[in-house]
Amino acid sequence: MSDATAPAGRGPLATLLASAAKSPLVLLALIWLLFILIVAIFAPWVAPMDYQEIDLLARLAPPSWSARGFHLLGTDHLGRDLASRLVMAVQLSMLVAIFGTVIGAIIGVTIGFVAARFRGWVDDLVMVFVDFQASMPFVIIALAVLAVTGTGNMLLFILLIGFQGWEKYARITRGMTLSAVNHGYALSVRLLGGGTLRVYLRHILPNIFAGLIVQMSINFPETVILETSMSFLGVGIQPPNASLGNLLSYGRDYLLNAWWIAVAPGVVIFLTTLSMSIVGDWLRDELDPVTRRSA
Amino acid sequence: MNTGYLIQKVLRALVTLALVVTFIFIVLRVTGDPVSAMLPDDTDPAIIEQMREDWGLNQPLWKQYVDYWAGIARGDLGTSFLDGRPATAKILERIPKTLQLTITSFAFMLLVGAPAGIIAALSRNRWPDRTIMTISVSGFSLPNFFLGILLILVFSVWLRLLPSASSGDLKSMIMPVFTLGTAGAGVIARFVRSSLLEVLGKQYVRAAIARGMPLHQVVLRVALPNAAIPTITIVGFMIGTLIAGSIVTETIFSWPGVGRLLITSVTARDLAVVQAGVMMIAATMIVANLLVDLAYFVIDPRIRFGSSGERQ
Repeated sequence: MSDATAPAGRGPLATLLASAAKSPLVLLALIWLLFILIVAIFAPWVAPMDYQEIDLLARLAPPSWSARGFHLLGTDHLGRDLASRLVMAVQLSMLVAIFGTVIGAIIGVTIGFVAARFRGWVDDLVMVFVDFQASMPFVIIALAVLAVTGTGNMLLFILLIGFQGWEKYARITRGMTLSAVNHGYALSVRLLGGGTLRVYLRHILPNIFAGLIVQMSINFPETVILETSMSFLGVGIQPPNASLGNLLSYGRDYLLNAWWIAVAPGVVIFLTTLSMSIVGDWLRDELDPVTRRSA
Repeated sequence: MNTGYLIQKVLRALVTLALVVTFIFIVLRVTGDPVSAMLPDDTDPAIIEQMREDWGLNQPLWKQYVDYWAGIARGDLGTSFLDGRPATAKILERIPKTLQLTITSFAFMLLVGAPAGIIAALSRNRWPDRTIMTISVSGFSLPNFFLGILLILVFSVWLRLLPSASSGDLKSMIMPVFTLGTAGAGVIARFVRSSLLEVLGKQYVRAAIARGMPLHQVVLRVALPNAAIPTITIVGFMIGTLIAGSIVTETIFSWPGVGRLLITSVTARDLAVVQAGVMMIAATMIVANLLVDLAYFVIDPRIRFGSSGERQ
């Protein structure tokens, strides 16, 4: 796979980075994603103030650098510092997106493995569910669940977001596993006495990993948009917790006199999903042997 | 004729429909008690018991499931607990508004996306191609709720040209249609471009050019009909995106359609209306997918006369 085409003495990661350095767009996208990641990880230290601290004397203050406070983006209707809320929103939204993507991958890969391992009616049943999921917008299913459970539970919301895209992981895992099983290596491990779990986790999973990474890079921006949309609609992350979506929704009420409240989180979402799409396209070209051959 | 293909597709649509109904039933009845979910914690137990009886919740589960199907067959999906009106009626009266928005946006997507994709393919790697593809990638990375807010900011707040909320006249449709259609137009442009490029590289197209057929005729008569086949798949997929996007768009622009009703019902936990809405959307999606499959059957002779049971 990717090792075979890498120049001698360099690992696949070094090869990837060398190719990224050649495209300024990919480089910019990677830098933005790194920046967002750093902000997300160190949010409490990056945030200039306590994001939930209420200062009723400084409600709806414009951006200012006065002695009263360092409000880069001004304050909201409760006098909370908006720049700090934005930083914490980046943290929460990225957390939900990363967890969501990983949960979806784990669920999908497991189901794909099960379908490929047992074939027959299990496989048929899985494919019926995959087709069903593929034909329904995920947000509709999420809304149906949230109507019953209520919208206050953040853990449940993250889990729900995680299910987004499981059918795509299941489909590609099943397909790639079926073709891998017929390859010599899986069969020889089996003949040498390796158990099913060992064959799937130690031998097949690493071989389909590149395809999964590409799928995750496609899934990630979709997860960001799903979470922020639902938070925007008021059925996702609820205040006082800050998500990029509910910040934007809050800013909508102040477009007349404080447009930056809505625009700042919107720009962060846009740049993040755009960067991830650019990186995803690039990863697909680099990692996917099929498109690389035809290119 | 390959009738096996048709039968298989119709059967699959029916199975999916049954799955949707079962899924909603499970979510509603098994994951929690809808009555205690709806009522406040300090409600009189007698009232809870009364409601459980009214809704048939003290029946065995299989009986509830059968009754549920019977209700659907009668078109009875319960009543809204907000105003006591039938849930189906509340959804049905909102449908024309949603159709008005989604159909116009769909036309916008195709009329902008397809020509843009054709121009991009014909000018491959030159500036029109690069410009169109850059706009296209930005178009589907821009979340529609942010696009909607930006449009309101520029055209309603700053320029004061367009109304920010639905008022029924044509002018109030411009921004919602643009919000809902832009991402889809980007996807379609990209897809038309790649499938047209693939077809243009085929032997029969090169042969037509070699024989001296004018380029515009090659594109219109030979390449486009062949590139249209894979594009139909993406169009079917776009219907789902349109429905999901209409929820956001209707909420931003106070558009009185099904999507906005769905969100207010979820927030109010008006379960009957939510399930009626979800079922209506699911049925629409299933019918749309079936129509896409039938369109394949009509357009692609390989499917009409080929082997059945083939997955794509």
